[in-house]
Amino acid sequence: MNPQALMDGLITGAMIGLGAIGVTLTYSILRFANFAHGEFLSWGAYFALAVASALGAMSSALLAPIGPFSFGWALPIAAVVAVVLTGGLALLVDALLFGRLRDRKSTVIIMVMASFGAALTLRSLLEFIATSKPAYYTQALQIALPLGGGLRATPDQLLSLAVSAVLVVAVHQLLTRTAIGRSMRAVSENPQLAGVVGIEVRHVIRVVWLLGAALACVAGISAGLLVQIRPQMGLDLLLPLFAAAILGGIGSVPGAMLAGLIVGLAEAFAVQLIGAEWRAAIAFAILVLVLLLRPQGLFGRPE
Amino acid sequence: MMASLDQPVALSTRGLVAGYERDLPIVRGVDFAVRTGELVVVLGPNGAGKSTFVKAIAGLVPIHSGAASLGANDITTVPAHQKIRHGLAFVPQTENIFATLSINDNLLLAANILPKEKRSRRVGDLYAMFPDLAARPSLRAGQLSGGQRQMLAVARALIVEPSVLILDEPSAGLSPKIVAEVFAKLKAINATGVTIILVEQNVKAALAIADRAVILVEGVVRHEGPAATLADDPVVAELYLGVRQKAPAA
Amino acid sequence: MQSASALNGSTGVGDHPPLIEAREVTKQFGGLRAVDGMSISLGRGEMLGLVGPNGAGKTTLFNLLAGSLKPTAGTIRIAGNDLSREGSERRIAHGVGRTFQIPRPFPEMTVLENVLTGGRDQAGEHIWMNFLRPGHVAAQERAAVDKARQLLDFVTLSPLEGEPARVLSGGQRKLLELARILMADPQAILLDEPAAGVNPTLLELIIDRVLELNAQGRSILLIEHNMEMVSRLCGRVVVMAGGRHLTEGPPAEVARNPAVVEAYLGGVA
Repeated sequence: MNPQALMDGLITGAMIGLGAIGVTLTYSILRFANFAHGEFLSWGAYFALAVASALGAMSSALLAPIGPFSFGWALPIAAVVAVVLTGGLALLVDALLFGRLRDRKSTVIIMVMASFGAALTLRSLLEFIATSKPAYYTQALQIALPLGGGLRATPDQLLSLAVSAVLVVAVHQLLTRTAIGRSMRAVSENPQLAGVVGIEVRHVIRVVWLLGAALACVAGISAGLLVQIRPQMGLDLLLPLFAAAILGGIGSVPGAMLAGLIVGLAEAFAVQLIGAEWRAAIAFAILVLVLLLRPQGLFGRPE
Repeated sequence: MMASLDQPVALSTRGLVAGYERDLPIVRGVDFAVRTGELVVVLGPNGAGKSTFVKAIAGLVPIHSGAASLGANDITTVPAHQKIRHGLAFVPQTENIFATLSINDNLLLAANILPKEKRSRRVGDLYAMFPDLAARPSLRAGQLSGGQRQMLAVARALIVEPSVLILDEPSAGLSPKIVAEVFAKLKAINATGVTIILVEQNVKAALAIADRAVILVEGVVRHEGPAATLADDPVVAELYLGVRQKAPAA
Repeated sequence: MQSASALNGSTGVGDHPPLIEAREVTKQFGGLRAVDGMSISLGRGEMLGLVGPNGAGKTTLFNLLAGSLKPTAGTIRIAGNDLSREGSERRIAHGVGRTFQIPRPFPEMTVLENVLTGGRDQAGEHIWMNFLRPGHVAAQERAAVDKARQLLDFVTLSPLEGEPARVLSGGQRKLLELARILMADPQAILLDEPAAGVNPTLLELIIDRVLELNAQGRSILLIEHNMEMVSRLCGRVVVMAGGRHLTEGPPAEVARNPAVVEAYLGGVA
């Protein structure tokens, strides 16, 4: 067995974990599975591409690779802008669709069906605007550096891992130590009591969308940087995202990241053992096993 | 604190009609008033609408007609999450604390609507009032016993220094000894000047701490009066059991 | 504690077993013992009231008798058969019908269609019967419709026969539910708070119909908080408190029992 699968698994897993955190937060606080979450990943990646290209057109100095990485300053700057734009997109979708359904006290199944519709719309729009041709942030090639133990990783990949780690810690701190984090956890547990206690639930909902979308955006940029940017990228990651969110336990941020790593590693090792065509089946198999054996996941509350 | 008649009215309702469904009012026209500093208990047999009445005041059940006022302010149409900002704190019967949050987080959460400078001071004040909670502030609230949960729920409600505190059956599910502790605490809180409205099933325990009692039957007020006299009044048992307590002369 | 008299109170005819009999039934939910060693029996032609303060375990006992909960201990017999392990779907076959505190008719089906769903042993419910014996199925259907119409007349809902059930008021829904369970010709009827959510005029009608059903010889057990209604309807009343049998007897007597008053006003719930 090639130990490189370990590295590949961790890198992919970190991306999945980042996206899964967004899913688990929106799922536990908004109380429905948002199948359009994958599209925030795609749109985030494309927003960053558009802004980075525009910046690069304005000043080619911004395209010069920073240090050992394959991208110039255009990308980090574009990432910040993309996060804001993706957050805006999420708020827009909520204002146009989910918020209205919520106000009408729609059942969960309607919200989920609506999210399928939203996903299809967002994806088609992206295909229309950007075409299905794969795109890349940079043409610069990267050499994988040896890390010891037969493992190799490019600087971009290590950066992606580091960013994921930092974000997990940051989100965890946000949830456990800040007032807004407390409010989010309270709304996740009991929205009616939260209102009685004086929490503005609508405000919390907006924050959740922004945070979920921001994390999806970063995950999308990561995926776009390390692999490629396509309109289908979010859809391809949707099943692993949900598998990780559920394996980790809905509502648990560390759980989502840990589960993401598990899913990533499982996929990488399975591909080694039984072939790349089975990759998609792994996340599915994990999902089914979790739901059958321990539906609350690793760290979730037993219902 | 025995409130005298010249105390201002802290909370009142006029002709309140409320219910979950528009064509089925559970509260059918209730006139009610509590004066500042009073401890009033709302009693009545099952299905009388006691819980629905206070939930309607708290904004959790739709009001069909009539009005509710807090002091001089009409709060009939104020949404549930704004009631606390007007000074009305409500402690529901079940699920009245956040079990997945720590005791400290539960209190900090409630303190959030206060200005920054006041927050930690008020939380400190509550810890002083409820030493059991101060002992282990980082304990997950879900691990507290039933009585301790009620204490936390009450502490949470008091953080914003509400003018009126409403509790919906705080004795539910608690052993008599714990009920006595909770009620003693409520009496002590009332003594500091907090107006309290208490909905209760446990008539005896409630009358023992109340100044006044109001009895609802089928959505309307059927009887009211000072708690001391009601404690021995056979009318209370009659309203609960629907049958005259003293056999008529045969 | 008068568990012996629980069995004495049944008005069985000759040596017929009581229609519904629970013996030493206990129901435990985790650490909570909602029903603790309860015994109760419903005799033929009897109208029995089950009362008690909030949290006494009445609804739990009711659900145990109706089969929607299974007892942790003890037995439940219907017409002499031990059905302790059986779910509610089998109760109808044994002649027991039950209503719900908040009836939920099929909102888009008509009132008549709702009543028709209550029929037992309908051949037309097996798909192949519709093809192999269409005549038989059609004849059964006609008979069922006739019976349903009679029952709708009994509950005075005939003018609303063709209306979708969602237009009915709370009290009318209770009457509809009554008609529906009568399609299966139950010998014993369990009524779950028949007065709850019903406006006073319809309540009189419901009381009248229930008395009529009892006069037809059906046994009725009802949970009710409206003590006035219980006194008018029931010959015998069983009082529960704290999951246990507190006392039983004629309503007027029970209501003046100091132990009962104590339980209602805040002794042990």
